[in-house]
Amino acid sequence: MAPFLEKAKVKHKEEIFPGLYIFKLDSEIIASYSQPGQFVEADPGESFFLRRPFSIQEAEDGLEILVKVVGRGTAELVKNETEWNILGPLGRGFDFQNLNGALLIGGGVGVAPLKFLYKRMTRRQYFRQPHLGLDKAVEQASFWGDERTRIRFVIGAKTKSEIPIAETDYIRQKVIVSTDDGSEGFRGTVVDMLKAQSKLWEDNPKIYACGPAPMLKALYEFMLEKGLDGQFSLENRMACGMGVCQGCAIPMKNGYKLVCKDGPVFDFKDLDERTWMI
Amino acid sequence: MNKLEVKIGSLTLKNPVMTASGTFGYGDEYISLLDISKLGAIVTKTLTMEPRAGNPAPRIWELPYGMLNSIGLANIGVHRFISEKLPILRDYEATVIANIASADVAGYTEVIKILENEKGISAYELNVSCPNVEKEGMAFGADVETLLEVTRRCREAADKCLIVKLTPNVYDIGSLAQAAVEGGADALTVANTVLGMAVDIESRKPRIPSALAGYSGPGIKPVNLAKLYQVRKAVDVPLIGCGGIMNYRDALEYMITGAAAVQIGSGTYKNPRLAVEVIDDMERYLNEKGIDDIDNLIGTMK
Repeated sequence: MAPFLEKAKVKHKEEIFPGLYIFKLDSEIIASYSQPGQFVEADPGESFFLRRPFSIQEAEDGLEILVKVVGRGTAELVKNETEWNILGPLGRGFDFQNLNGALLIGGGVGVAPLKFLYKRMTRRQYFRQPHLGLDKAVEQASFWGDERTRIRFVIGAKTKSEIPIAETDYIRQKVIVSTDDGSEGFRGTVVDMLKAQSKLWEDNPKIYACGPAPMLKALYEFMLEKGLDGQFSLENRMACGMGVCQGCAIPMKNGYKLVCKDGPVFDFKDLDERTWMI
Repeated sequence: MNKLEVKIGSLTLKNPVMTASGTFGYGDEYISLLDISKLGAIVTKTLTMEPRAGNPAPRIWELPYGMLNSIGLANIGVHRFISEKLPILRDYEATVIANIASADVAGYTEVIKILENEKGISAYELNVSCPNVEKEGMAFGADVETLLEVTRRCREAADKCLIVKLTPNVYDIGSLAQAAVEGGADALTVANTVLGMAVDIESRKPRIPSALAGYSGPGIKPVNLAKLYQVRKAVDVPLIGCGGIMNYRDALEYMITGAAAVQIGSGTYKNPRLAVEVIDDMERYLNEKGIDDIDNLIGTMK
């Protein structure tokens, strides 16, 4: 029964590009309970009143998170190379049972929960296709853009240097990339790319998206127009992270929902025009 | 002998550390993080007769020494609290104080009547001070006559211990404290959040849509501590200190000033185990100082 508090040692820290870091934390209990789409809240230390929320990017061998420095709290956190005080796992994650094709769409640091989701999806694939044999399954799990499973991964970034995954990884794993300036992959936003490349979605995959609000809003409108369905992971300023303070409420189709507890993953059908107004 | 035991009117608490209304949900949310039966009491999120959706977003804003909130008493309503939450709290043997609010005096007594026969509720705390609700909440706690009236009516309806949570956003808190006591309050909580505000200089919009919000956190501790000092001089009932407690030292400041108990509020967001840590540290402090009963510390400011 979650959540838990944990003091987790920093196993690995890597600056992917200026202001964006991968942290690998030596978590046992939180990692073992984590599901794709869930998040942790980290304490930036004595100078800050509230924790900061981070999507879980990986929970196989400790806990991996992507930290983008967006203010003083995150700037303080990335200086901490010893031990993090984390609360988690928190929130409702992605639903990926009975999958029949999936399109994962990540914008910027929004890639984090989708990487975790992809890993779990492909692991499920192994159980669902025992005829593949172990070797095949392992090989398959290392390919993100597998056409047989119809699980495709799309990443949008401002420019090539800000793609939050190592270049060798996204080339080897067949991630489909768009950049606003065209320095890598498709030139334009991820939604521009969907408009230009209908083969990405015309077989009606379930769409899993996480990214900045303008991207999600554009995607929401595109999906409405095309009749697509899926789940979005949203973000908001939050305090308690566990549904107690009611501070992170956002307007949805059926009234206010808490990003921390009812989400952060929401069904597309529950989203509303008003969701994007805050 | 339990050296941390305190009395709040007819209520005996195993220790003086409660969780403040609105910052600990209904209590069950924290079961995986701490033993909720260890707490002096859990004060529930404010309960109203009907469920409330709460105020427009954004509802919170972090500050260097705390946060602003304007939640709007979002809650599941008293009936769902009884059917869904209270049985869990009873199972875990938590001491529960039901915090209640309403838009009119009659509404307070109706909620009390519904709760009065429920097992597992030890006391009521009247929210007469929430600065988030534009008309009703503010008016009760800021006006002597209104506060006297609502307390008296609730006293008539309640057999259980009755606590009134005062608002600090008044000039003469002593008079309001006297009104609540005259109305029949067994104890007073001092105090709710301090009126606060923040503005975004880029958009020139207030950080909270309604502009005015409740300020909590260490920034308000000197303010509410001064209010408790003033209330201590005005009335003789047990007081519960609340506002900006981040550790046992903060809690002891309130108790030395005259509080028989304390409430841990939004400090819980950063450290969900804060209340139990304060209990443990308080006991350690008493042992170190050779104080064998916390009653010998309360109100001993020199």
